[in-house]
Amino acid sequence: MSSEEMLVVKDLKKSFRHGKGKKSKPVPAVDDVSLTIYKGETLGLMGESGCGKTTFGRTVLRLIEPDSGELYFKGENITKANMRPLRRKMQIVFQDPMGSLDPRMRIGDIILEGINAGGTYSRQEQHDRLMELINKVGLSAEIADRYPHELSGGQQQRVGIARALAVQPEFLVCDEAVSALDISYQAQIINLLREIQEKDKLTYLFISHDFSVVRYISDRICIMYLGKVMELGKTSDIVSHPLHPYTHLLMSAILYPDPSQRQIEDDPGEEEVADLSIPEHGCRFQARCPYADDVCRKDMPEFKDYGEGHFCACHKCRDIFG
Amino acid sequence: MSESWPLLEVKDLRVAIPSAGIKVYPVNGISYTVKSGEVMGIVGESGSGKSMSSYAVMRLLKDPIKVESGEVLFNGKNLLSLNKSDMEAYRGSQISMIFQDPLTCLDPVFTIGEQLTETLHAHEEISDAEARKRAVEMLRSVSIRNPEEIMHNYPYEISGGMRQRVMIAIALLCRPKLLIADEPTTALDVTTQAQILRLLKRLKKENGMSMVFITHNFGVVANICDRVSVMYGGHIVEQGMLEDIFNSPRHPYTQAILRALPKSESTKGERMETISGEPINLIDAPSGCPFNPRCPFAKDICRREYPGVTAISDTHIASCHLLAGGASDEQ
Repeated sequence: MSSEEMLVVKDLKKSFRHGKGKKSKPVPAVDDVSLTIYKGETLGLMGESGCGKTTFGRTVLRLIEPDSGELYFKGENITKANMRPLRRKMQIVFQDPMGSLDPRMRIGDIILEGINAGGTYSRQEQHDRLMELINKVGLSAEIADRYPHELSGGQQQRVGIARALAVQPEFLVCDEAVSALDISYQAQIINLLREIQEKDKLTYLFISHDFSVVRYISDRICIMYLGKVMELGKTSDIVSHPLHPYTHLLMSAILYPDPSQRQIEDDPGEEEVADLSIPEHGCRFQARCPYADDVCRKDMPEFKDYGEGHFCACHKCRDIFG
Repeated sequence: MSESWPLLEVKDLRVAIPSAGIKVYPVNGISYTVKSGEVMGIVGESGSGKSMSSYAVMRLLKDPIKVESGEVLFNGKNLLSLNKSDMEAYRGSQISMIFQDPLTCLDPVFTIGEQLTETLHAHEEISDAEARKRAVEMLRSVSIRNPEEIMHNYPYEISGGMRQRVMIAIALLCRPKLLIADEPTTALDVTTQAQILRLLKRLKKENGMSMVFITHNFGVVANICDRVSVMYGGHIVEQGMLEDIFNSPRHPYTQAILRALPKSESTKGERMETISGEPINLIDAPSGCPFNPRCPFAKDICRREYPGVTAISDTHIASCHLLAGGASDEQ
């Protein structure tokens, strides 16, 4: 990881309209998010479904156009730029590998399409490059003649990665790239992504709702809730010393495979379902926060640095977690 | 009925799919019992047969997939020999099932309320007003805050966690004795997952219900199951109490999968443990033990014959030649 900036996001906003006809109103999915992703690092972006993490990932690639804010890629303002030449540098791997591979194309042709989008190559060069990519993602050569449905989920995801790498990108968004896979294949894909990153000096934005996976791959972790960044910091700091009550809630809900410490009580009482609508005033997390008081219901907390790049947006975190 | 009476007994169940002139067996002779009030976990990766075996128990297999042999005894009665209408009387009222994706079992063109009351009308002689009242009560008991409002909603109008609750409400309306849960929390956030598991535990206690819980998440298993069956390639390769499986796994597959779990204290820099190789391909299934191509301890006999069952203790069994032959099994 270096201090060279790969992607700078400033005050990014994106709303979607919710409801029917005249009653529809804009609901912010990404609300004033600013952050920097450095060259060669993996920034893990996590939060529950609906927190805006996928919208963020697509908006920084301009697959969705932002309402306002600015995007800089390697120092260049790309907020309004023609994305076509930039697509080679910025790629995405999707959650559902089957849904993102054309069922009627052979694997070799799927990857070749990517290779040829990145430049003009002779037959021999195309073939060499294809074999190099198939080898790089840990598949064997004969897979080039197969169709997507003949592959397992883990193999399909390797093809998705090979296709993204075909244009030799510098920045890769992985949107829930391992969430649909069985545990043993999740580990294989995570290890593969890390090997590729070391070899090719890639920069990743790794989006996932699964904390146990995010922390294996991320240098820093960013936690979003209802469109806002709640906490951002080095993985080791977030894991050992989380500051935001929401981060604590997410971490405590991870179930550990240890029958001697059951986290779900044997005789649980009834529980209320949290209100997930965006409050008019104050902190976004107030309805679910056990520490919320009048200040939290009135003012939006400031996103502050609590030392060594460990940021948190909470009125109370100093008092509660020191 | 005594506490230890087996509510469900699955005996040597085998499911066949005819494929290009041959037959493949996604479920290849499995046996397990679920006692009254007990939660049996069935774990395994995609293609291990864990869901298929439960569809067979519910008699929900679609042609040409068929149960080829075996018995499914529910309170001593073989469900596989019931005629269609007798089975329908069991399904929903005695045994219910919930799924990973609630949208596949909720009908998009009916309101939540219509789907709940329809279920009640199908199994009980009940007035419309009474059915509505029961439906609202049920929605409230699955921790839905505004049940009257939700009754008028269509499935697409509510969130994933809410749909999961609605599906559970439908499944539990007639107070079944057995609930088969097929990865009901896999698609959910960890926070919602914890809520749903708490809910299932509470309802199980209130209704004295038994469960078959299918999942590939060992964190979920550790938190909800009493006993565990580990499936691989259509077989139950290991079965035991929760503590047997987690603290002293004996089958190489169980040992490998437990090692591959993310560790609670790990961060970037450590390699995640993996199981090498690809999942089993049923059409080109290996002879002998299905795990042999990926097993670091495989010997000649493992490639020739399927291993018999070895009893490790009163509660713990595994099928592996390493255990049966008395070969060194300390790994």
